[in-house]
Amino acid sequence: MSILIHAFSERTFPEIVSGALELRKIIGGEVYAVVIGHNVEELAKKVAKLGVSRVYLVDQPEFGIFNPEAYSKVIFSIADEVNAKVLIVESDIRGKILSGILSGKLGCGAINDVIGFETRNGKMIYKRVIYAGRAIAEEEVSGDSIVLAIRPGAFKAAEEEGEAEIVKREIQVGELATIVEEFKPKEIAGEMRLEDAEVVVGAGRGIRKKEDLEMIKELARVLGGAWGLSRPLAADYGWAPIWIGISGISIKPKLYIAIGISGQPQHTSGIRDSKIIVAINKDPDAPIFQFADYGIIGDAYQVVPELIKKLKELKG
Amino acid sequence: MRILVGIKYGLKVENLVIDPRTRKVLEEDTPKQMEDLGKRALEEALRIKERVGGSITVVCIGPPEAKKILTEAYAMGADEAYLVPQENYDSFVVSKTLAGFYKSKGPYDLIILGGISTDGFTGLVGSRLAGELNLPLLPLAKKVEIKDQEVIVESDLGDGIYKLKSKLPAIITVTLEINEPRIPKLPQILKAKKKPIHEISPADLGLADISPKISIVDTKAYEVKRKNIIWDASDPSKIPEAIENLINKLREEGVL
Repeated sequence: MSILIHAFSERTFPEIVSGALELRKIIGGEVYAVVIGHNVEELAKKVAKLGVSRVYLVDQPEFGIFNPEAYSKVIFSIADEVNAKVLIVESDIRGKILSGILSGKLGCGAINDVIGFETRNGKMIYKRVIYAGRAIAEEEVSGDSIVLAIRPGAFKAAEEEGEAEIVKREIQVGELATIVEEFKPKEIAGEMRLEDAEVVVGAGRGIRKKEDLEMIKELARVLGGAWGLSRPLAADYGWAPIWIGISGISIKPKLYIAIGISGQPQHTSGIRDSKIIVAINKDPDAPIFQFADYGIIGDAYQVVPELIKKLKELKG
Repeated sequence: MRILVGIKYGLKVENLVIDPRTRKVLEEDTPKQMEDLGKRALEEALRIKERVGGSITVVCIGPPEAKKILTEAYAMGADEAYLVPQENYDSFVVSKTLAGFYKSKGPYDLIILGGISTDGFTGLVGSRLAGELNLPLLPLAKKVEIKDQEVIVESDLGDGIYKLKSKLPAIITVTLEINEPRIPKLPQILKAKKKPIHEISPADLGLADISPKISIVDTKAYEVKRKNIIWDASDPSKIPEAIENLINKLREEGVL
């Protein structure tokens, strides 16, 4: 029973491989990885050192930009070659699209957002996030094959171990029914990555104009942290490429300050692992207060500048 | 343009009822509704119909009570509504059923679905259906454009914004940003109540013995253990005091 893994980046591959190696301890077999893209040989070399049996490298110009149809064809082809019964992808937006297409083609079960698994009474139990992140479901799967999308961050990155062979494959996917006409990559902000920050200040719809984000950024600077936005501000208004929430970036800082954020389930699920949560909101009934350790009911436009002033005074 | 829309009778996740002792999610006690992204899928279909003409068939796979959201779909402007009665379903059963429906009642030019349901939260149905029917998939659209026999969508797939194009027929899944669904007016609601909800059994779609691949053995809600210490500074004169309290607490916690 072989496992085939696909992930997109240097950051997530080690975590996804680690999940696959854990699964192998239970089900046995080989763990193969496939690296798809253009000029991705370096990534393949890194993956080869993570304890997998073999790495397939599919490095062609047409794979430089993600195309769900093309990528699923490549994974399908390699899965067929190694006779993989378990396909593991990364549970980000793109990976979850792949898991759907692949499981649809294979007619097998699929689970997205997997955060762990174990055997119970001889049966595999998979744990995943459900209800927009408000709960964990434990699930059993019937059938021989399965596609799993593992959530980045669920497993500790695999350590370097040995060096697997890298096999280059050229794969012709033929004419595609879906074409990527245009692709605008998201700029990586020059500021601190939200995932790594110890303090995060988040802004929501209580902030009315893009210019007003200056006070949010200022507060983040004073606290030595990063700033981010809720989904409506990022996705609806386009004020930032990515948002804080389970459908965007999940964060776990020591301190999270939610400003003008109402507290929709998808947001609160993405901040759940923060050590301390502070909410500032003028609506006393905003759900965010239930998820907060400390809160101030008040107008962000008055509270935040005052808070910045006080923090500056303290720092001298 | 013949459009097929799938909607779901889903749990209202904001009102999830949780057994305080066991942390189990009590699905039976949780209120249900037309799941939000499916509703936006229907709204998008209505807008496409308004632009280019056509007809909209809405299908729901679910229990008999789900008829009420099909009536709601009529009130919003759907032309035809079908219930495929099914009590026990997962993304496998739903995508198989939709594929069966497409083959038996189709062809359709477009299938529009929600990208992910807030309750089940698998996000699998649209892409599984594409894999099964071998149709082009335009996932997680926040903008849809129809030009001649082509469809172009704009999607945020995490690493960037994609403009994806395919010929019809195609499957579109939509995301939160695509639109704000209309709220039907009273006359439309009253008219909708008289419209027939067709039932078609899984057996009629050649799926008599279908059963889920995934069975949920348990669900446990995350525990929210927060201190909930809130200071009311709705009166601006209270702000300095609230801030002082907050800063003191954050220092005690060692996070400042």
